[in-house]
Amino acid sequence: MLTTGFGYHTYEVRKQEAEARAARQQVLLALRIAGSKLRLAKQKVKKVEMGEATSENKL
Amino acid sequence: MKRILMVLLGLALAPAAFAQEIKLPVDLDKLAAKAAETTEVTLNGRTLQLAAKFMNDEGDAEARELVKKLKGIYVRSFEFDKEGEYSQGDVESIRSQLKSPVWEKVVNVRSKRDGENAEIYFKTDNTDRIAGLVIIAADPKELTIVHIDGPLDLSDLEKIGGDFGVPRVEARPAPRSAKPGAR
Repeated sequence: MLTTGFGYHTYEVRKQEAEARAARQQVLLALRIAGSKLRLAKQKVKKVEMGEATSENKL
Repeated sequence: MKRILMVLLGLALAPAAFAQEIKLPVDLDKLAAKAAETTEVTLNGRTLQLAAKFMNDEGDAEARELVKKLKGIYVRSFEFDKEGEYSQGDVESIRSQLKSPVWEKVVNVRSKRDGENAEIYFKTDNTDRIAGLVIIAADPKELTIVHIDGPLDLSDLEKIGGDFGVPRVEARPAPRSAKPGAR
């Protein structure tokens, strides 16, 4: 009974660790995409300053 | 008495309306069927807290501190093989939710030359701090929507823009879809 309980606990811990690692990867992916789009917007704003596009920028 | 009750009800519902999240429409998911590559990330507060506990690698510290205070990160990105696979209506369904006074459009870039458009919206809370961020990046062959829900400051934005110094090999988009956390 005790062994089964310990086994279940270990299983749950490992499952949570796996979920957390997957979540970490997804967080890094999401931040990377957000970062690339922020940089893109920044580049576009710079282009606007050179008259290549239209924009409104309050930053 | 009835009028007082109505006023009280309105006051009770007001914060809920203010705090309302962006709904990424079902139609956007239909775009996945047309897309050559789809990236879908849905991370709610619980999943973010869980992830933060495991962000212990070198270079994770800044990202961890940001993630710990966020309520959610939602990304939908579609890459198409040809132009015209998504409509302005698809984008408008998101844009229509980003209205003043809760949301403010801070960047709006439209390029006629290459058709690359970028919009950035900030959500402000009662203290005028940034309480959320939405990025809509629409190219002829790519549509990306990023919603970061939670408090941010300008230094956070700089860190996001700088990728936190995280090596590029750490995470790559899944070929089709990745969905670790339910919203």
